[in-house]
Amino acid sequence: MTNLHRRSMVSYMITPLFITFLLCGIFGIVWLRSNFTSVEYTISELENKKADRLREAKMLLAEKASLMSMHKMEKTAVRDLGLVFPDRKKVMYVKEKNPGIQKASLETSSGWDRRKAVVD
Amino acid sequence: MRKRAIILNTAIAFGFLIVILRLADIMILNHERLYARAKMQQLKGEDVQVRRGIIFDRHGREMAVNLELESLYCNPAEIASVEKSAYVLSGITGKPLQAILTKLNSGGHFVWIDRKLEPEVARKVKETKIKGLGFVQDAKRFYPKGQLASHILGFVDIDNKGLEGVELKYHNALSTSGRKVLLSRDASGKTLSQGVDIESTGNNLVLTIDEGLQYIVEAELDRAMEKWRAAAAAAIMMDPHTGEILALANRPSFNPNYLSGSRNFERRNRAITDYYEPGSTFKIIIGAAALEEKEVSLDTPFDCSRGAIEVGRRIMHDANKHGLLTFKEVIQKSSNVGSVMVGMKLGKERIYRYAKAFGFGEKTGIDLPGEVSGLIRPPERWSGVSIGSVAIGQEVAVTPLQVLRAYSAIANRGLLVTPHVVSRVVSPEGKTLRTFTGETKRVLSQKTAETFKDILKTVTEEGGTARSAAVSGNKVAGKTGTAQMMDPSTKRYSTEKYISSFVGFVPADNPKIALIVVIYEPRGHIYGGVVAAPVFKKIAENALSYLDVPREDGPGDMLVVSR
Repeated sequence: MTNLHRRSMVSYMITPLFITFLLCGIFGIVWLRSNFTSVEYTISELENKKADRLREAKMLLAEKASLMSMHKMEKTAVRDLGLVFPDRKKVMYVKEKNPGIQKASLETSSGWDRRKAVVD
Repeated sequence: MRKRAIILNTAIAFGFLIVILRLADIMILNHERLYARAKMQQLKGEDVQVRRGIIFDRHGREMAVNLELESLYCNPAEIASVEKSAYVLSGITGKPLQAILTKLNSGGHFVWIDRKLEPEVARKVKETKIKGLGFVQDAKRFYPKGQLASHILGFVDIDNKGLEGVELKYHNALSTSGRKVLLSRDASGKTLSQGVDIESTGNNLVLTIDEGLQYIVEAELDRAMEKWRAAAAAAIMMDPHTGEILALANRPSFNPNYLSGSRNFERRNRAITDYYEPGSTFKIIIGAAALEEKEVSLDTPFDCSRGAIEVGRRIMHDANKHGLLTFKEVIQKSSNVGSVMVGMKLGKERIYRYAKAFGFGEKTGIDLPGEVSGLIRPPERWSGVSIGSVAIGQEVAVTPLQVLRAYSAIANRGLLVTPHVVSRVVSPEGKTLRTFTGETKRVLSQKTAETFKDILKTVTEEGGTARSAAVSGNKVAGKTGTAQMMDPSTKRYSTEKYISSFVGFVPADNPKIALIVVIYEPRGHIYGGVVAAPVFKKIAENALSYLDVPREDGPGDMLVVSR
């Protein structure tokens, strides 16, 4: 293959290649831009959903706080469950060998030994 | 053929040239102007949604939060049938038809129809699909505990501006400034994410109030109001060592969620805004001063056998004749005659000096709006009767909080604290921005405070005026007060209207709470020992139980079993 022949091959290829690259580049930019906008829409929708959930969370927080009010709890405890406010005279005192907090539920930090201390 | 090709090529080239020139015009020559116009179309200014911070009690329970509601507005120019629309809206919102008609006929492009609609109402309005109506997200302050602690929390107006209580005092900390953000939108008006937060929240407040203690105090005040058919009542519970207000309540009261249904006198925070003549609770001043100045000892005798004493042109009486009393018994039995004698020993200058030192006649500095300073006249303006009157708590005007603070100084070994209701300001992210610790100042020596505390302990023991304030299992130190009210019509002391009070602290030797109970105009009985002391006892018993404070009458080395 002569030099002249090779040069004519390159000049024959370069134009379509250039056009192909140019078209790919333009398409790529448009595609990226379109994707970018699409992602923005998606994020915007998710942000709206998040805002809705946060609003719901705030409403639920208010409802929870209202339900947890002392007045409502006492009403439920006394009227519905028949509980009574503890009388100080009836609060049980226990001797404690080792200093620490004692739970009435026998929930202990050192197992059996500690329970023995309660009944000691 | 060739000629036609040349013409076609020239036309295409010319066409391209026109396009290139137009593009140059748009993109280069008029770029700035057109870019600005495009931006105006694409960007939408949106107000940042401003939200107040949350108010918590000392254990993180929500006392004031925000509800996310919608407010309804309209563009009157777009409303097709004004009468029909007004009729429909009136039926759904419950607003008067005429008021809505006026708004729809008002002209302009924006009129509020109704603010902060309930979600159900907003849904019904949306279903009508009336053209020209729109909704804006709006926050409504909500107090989930109802009327509990309403005088501390206060309330806000329709635009969430603090008007009373902590909401007013800490408005700047709780709120945040509004601003606009620009959001991109497409041709159909849909917004594109800009990654900006369109909500701005103020700082949160952590109160010193304990919801449990507040509930105990309010429940007992309600019972006392009912029992004594009183005109009003107030109670304050404080940590005597730090000045932290644990509970503060007044009756009558109001629910800040339904403000329009409340009246002015119900919204008054009597505990700090109303002053009264304290009566015998003021004897702390002459008693503590006499001990501090070494004018008396515990056993100094006072002859109260006449049951009356003349001061100036006035004769002051005891409720009962007591005979010979020691100084300790003068306080224990709340003898007016003995107190006047002690007052005379001290002299008006020293009484005035100690009253001022204990904070009377000055604001306590509590972080709530509307506090009054009370009144104690300087000695040069006292009449001949004044020394006797002041000694028994007349001719002085005090607030319940001032009295409680003075007794807390006895509980706190002579140190006067600054009461406060807010302990911390916390950012929305949870970072503590500011903490409040009240200042203290010494007003009595530790020894005098201890001695006087021992005297106050006898008040609730056998022979004292307030045995009904004694708490089972723990010693109470305190003092009763029964004060006549001034009748504004006769400008004389009323023989029917009294103020009964009891102030004290418990457990006396290691106080956890200081508490004052004031009952205004009780019916049936008038004495502090009968009316207010039992309320103190009930509140104190429940509070000690709630706080897991063990009884002191059991054997040593005992621990209370936690509930």
